[in-house]
Amino acid sequence: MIRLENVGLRYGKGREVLRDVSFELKSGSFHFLTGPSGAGKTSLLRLLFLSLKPTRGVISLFNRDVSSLSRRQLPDLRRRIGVVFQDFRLLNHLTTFENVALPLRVRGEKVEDYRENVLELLDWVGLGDQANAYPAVLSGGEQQRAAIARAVVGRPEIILADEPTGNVDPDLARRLLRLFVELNRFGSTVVVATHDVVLMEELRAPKLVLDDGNLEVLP
Amino acid sequence: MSAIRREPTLTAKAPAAKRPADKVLPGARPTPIMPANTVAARSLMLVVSLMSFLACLALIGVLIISEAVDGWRADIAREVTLQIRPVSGVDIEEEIEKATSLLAATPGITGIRVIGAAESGKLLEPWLGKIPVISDLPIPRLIAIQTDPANPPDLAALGEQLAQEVKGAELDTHQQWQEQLSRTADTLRWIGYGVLTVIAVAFAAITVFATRSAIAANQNVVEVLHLVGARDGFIASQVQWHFVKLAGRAGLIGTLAGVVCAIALALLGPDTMPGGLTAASRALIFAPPALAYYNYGFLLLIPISAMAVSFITSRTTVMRILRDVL
Repeated sequence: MIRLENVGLRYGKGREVLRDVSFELKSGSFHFLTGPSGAGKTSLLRLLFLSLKPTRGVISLFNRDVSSLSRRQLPDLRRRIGVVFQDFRLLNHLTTFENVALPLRVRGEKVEDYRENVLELLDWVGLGDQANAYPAVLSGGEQQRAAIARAVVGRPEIILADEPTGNVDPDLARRLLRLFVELNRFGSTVVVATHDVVLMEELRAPKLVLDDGNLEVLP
Repeated sequence: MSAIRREPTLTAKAPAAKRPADKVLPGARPTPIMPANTVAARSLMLVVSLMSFLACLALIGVLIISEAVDGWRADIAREVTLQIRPVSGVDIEEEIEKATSLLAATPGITGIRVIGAAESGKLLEPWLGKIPVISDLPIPRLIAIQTDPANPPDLAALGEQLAQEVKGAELDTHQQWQEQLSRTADTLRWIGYGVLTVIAVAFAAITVFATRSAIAANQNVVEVLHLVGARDGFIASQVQWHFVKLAGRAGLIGTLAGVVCAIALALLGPDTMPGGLTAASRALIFAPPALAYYNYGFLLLIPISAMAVSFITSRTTVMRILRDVL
């Protein structure tokens, strides 16, 4: 499903932030992506959700070499990937319902067709009461769950989460992890970037460990 | 996904619990994807309104000057003067009689006014002062002739005929005066066009700058749309129509304010000079329907230009942002 071969990345003329990164993630797998701050976790995730191009190497998603795809083909690929951003990136002028439904709206689906599904999803993440609330009045944990709901509403095959438990208490962090495990159980390939050691001890899953741009895969 | 939804993982209470959201149907009135009432949008609205107001005033100024100049030209062209010099041995009153008969029989002449000897003498008073000998001097006599602007007489042929049949007659068509006025009027008009061009360029530049600033303030919206799988065309259409509508509204507000100023000039302007700027602004604002369509159509170009500039700027800017985010 995801394959990287000798991928390198540098910003501008700076030094490489990722060096010879190679790994393969099978469909339906669950991985932690970990490493110290500044190790390149977010950069690697940005490569995976097609927000950056590698300076060298090959990235294959869904058995297609990403570099061979035209710009017009990228949105179709992005729709198969759900992303939870570290800073949530909810739009403050839209309600929770509208934020969560955004991936469906940009695909041209009608609100009548997706209203019930989105409301069910909001119930599932515990935000059923907040459908008409704006992000500014949501707590950090609620914003995080809204961001997760937005990432999964389009039924993506890959879910990438960047420090999804970084802003919540340990109890909610465990519940969010269970949510990702459930999504994985229903078929999504999940990569959770975190440097929370306690959280990783909650679940036995392979780890992609980044250190100063070099990647090691621990079973 | 439905299988997932049957298992409430995070909810403390059952999903069936009544939501306050049920009172207002979520998504019933979808919020525009681009935020409407932001500081950047309000600034853009203010800037475009002000620039449209200035552009409207400049355009109205040019139209009023054109209107006034046409009026002045028509007034001068409508009147010619016949001068009859005294010739020794010829009775000037008889020559005046001959000239008026000839003029009265000429088609295209709507009025003849013979200026009497006393009145002609008065015309010299500014140079000679009030002296009794003026009435004894051989002063040329004048006949003011009104012509029909719709069907003017052939002035060259009339001049020749008068010169042949009336001794000492010379027709003054005010050509030199007309030429001077034309030059002055054209200069005024070109100054108006120059001011209009400068304002139009400033209008375009400031609209471009304000639109770019407003889009930059909403860059996160563009990026999020991009990352949730929106196509470039979808994002561009959301952004460009948001700004086109905003610029159109602001352009209309500015133009209406400019028209209100012109109406105020037309209604409240000094009334002492027929053919002055007040009269010209009245002719512009309260024109007959055929002319009004033309005048107001010109003014509508302002909001249309604002929308066009905003459309092109927002599209190119958003495409540039999208290129940067891959």
